[in-house]
Amino acid sequence: MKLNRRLLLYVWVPLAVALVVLAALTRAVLLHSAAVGTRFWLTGAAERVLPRLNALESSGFPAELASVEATVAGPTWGAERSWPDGPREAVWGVRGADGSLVAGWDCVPSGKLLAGEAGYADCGGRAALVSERSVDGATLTVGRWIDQGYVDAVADVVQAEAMVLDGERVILSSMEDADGSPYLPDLAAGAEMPFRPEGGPAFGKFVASGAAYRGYYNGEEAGNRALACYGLSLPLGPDSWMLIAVPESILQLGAIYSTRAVTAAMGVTLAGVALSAWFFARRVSGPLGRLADQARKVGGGDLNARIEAAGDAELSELARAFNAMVDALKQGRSDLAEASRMAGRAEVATGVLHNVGNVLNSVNVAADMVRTAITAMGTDRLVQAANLLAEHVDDLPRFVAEDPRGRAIPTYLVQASMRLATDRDRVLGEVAVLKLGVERIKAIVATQQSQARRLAHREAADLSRLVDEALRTVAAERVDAGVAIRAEHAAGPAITVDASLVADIVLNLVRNAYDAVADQPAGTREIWVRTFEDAEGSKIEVVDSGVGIASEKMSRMFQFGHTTKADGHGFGLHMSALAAQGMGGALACHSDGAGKGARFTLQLPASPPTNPLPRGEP
Amino acid sequence: MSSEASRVLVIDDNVAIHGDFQKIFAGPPGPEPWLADAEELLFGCSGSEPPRRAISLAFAAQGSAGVDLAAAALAGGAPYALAFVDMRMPPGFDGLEATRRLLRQDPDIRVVICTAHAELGTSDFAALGRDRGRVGFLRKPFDALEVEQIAEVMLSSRELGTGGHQRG
Repeated sequence: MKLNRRLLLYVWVPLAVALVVLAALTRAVLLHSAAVGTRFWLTGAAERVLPRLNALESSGFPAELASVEATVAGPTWGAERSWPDGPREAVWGVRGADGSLVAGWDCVPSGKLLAGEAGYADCGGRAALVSERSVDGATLTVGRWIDQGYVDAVADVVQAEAMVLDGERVILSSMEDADGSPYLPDLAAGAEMPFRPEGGPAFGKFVASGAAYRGYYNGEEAGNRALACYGLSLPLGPDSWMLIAVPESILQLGAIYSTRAVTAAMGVTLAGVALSAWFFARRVSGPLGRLADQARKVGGGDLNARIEAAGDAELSELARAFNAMVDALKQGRSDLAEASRMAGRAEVATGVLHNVGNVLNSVNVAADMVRTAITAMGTDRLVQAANLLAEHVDDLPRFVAEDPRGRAIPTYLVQASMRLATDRDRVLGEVAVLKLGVERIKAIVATQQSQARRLAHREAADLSRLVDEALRTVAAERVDAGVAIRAEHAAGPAITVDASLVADIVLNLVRNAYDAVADQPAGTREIWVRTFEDAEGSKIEVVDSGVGIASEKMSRMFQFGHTTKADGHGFGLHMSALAAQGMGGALACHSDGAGKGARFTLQLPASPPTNPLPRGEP
Repeated sequence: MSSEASRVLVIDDNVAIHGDFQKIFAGPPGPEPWLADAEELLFGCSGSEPPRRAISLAFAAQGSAGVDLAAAALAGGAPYALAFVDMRMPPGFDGLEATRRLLRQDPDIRVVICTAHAELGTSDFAALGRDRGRVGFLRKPFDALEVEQIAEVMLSSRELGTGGHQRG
């Protein structure tokens, strides 16, 4: 069976069933709480309206909440209303001298037939009922005081409701407007009803179009002040919404019912889903667990980890894919090792370029200096002076003795020749610089050429020669490093290795040693290089007196990307260690700690290959 | 052109390069005055060179030392007008970083980055942002003409107040 089909059977289907059950239960609970008479109001909270009432601006009211808000502030009372996709409007009026409310007026003609709306005003424990009615497109607004309480209603044209909570009583005032009777009946004559009237107000009438609503009620326990309750409206159908509230006091009962029932329902369904998931896990997780174990092994570097294909077709397929991936990984790793080696060579090439560039720089400048010095030598002036004398060859004694120019000539010749001598010395100095530069470039290029014998992978190499060559190369690169180098060679006869690789590694080690001692005081920058043989075979050791390696960093020395140098890239040592490993040798590192120098030991393969390739052309 | 010598800082870990800059900006020694007088008398004209821009050079072997030197000179009221900065200066930070710091601490300074190989690309240049008008590049190996020419361009741009977002 396909995995995803199983997933469907064991997880998704139970989950969907559970959700349906949960939704049904929730709906039943909510309907129940509605049936027991929980009332919800759509009116916005007074605390939100009050600060704005003096201005009574018609804008800024949340359009998504169709509601009426009204309050009294000073002599003015007002109400705001809004409805989805419609204009926001405000109505207001003025309180008369006797405390009665004078009818207000609509600030904006609505132009469409609206459900009648009622608002409330809470003023010192008293409430004003504000209602309005749309008649032939014009809006009639009426304000009226009622006794202590809270009024809220939403009604359509033919039916309006107002409810006043007075302690435990509910006064329901019908505002039915069946046949042109006064729209707003006297509230004092309103019927008193118990709080939970049989067949209380129909739920569907209290519709908010936003997801959230706020309502509040007055009650003795709240000192006849408004308490806020908050809730969510849940869609029940295309035009039907349910409001679920978590209110205080009188609304608690319904909420508790809801909470208990919903909690129980959730518990049951979650248990079902968990059971189902457990079945799924039993069937599928065993093979997957074995896969995970093998994957962890691969992650730990064991590229020989494989999985036996067994069980379901899909799991077998997975096992085959896994094994193929590990094979690819194994190949990739050796490719990477080669790429890393190439990167190391690119670095060598870049270094060579840099060194040649620096030397060429001095060569260029010296050549410029020679050219300018020779131009300025003034040899043509000497020719001119000679010509001057030639012009006067017939009366030379008089010219030299009496003519001002002739008298100046002998002194000029002496001084000019002295000047020529100093110019010549300068030119010779620059020529020496040129020669030195050219020699350095030759040395760098020669080293490069010896490293360029890449095709002959294995050749009989004289370790001491190889090491000396590397030392010369680095010394040419770092002429001003002030490092004392000592080399001791006690290695036996030439061994057969990939000489260019060994040279790469030694170059890298020696360069690192130079870097390590660079910050030591002058005179203490020392590097020892040793070639020797012990039981394990031939070894090359590079020891420096430099910055050393803190023990906590030791384990990361050969890691790719690890570097302690500000401009390092962290693949020099990594590449060297890989190369040493690749040729059957090893690269080890030892340091007594930070500031105590370091020793890198390159161990070459113990037994040379039986079929060495012929040595390449130098 | 100001009558005072322009102060130029060379930051390069290779002291041979310091010597190169010194030789370039010192130029050939002019003829001694008496020699010039004698030539004037004998040949009717003197072989003296056209006047050169006066440059006073300072050197640093590491990026950090160079940046500190420039900061001190700026604080002392005699800032460096131009710095030649080598790209690779192990073990400290590289020339690009030194350049960024120099540009940041002195809104007037001009910097020429010297590099021996193609390790810098247009993206590095773009990354210098609106400061890139104050930066030049010089490929090693350079010759005397290139150095004198780029120094002249950079020093002129500083005197004219162009190429950067400096104080003016």
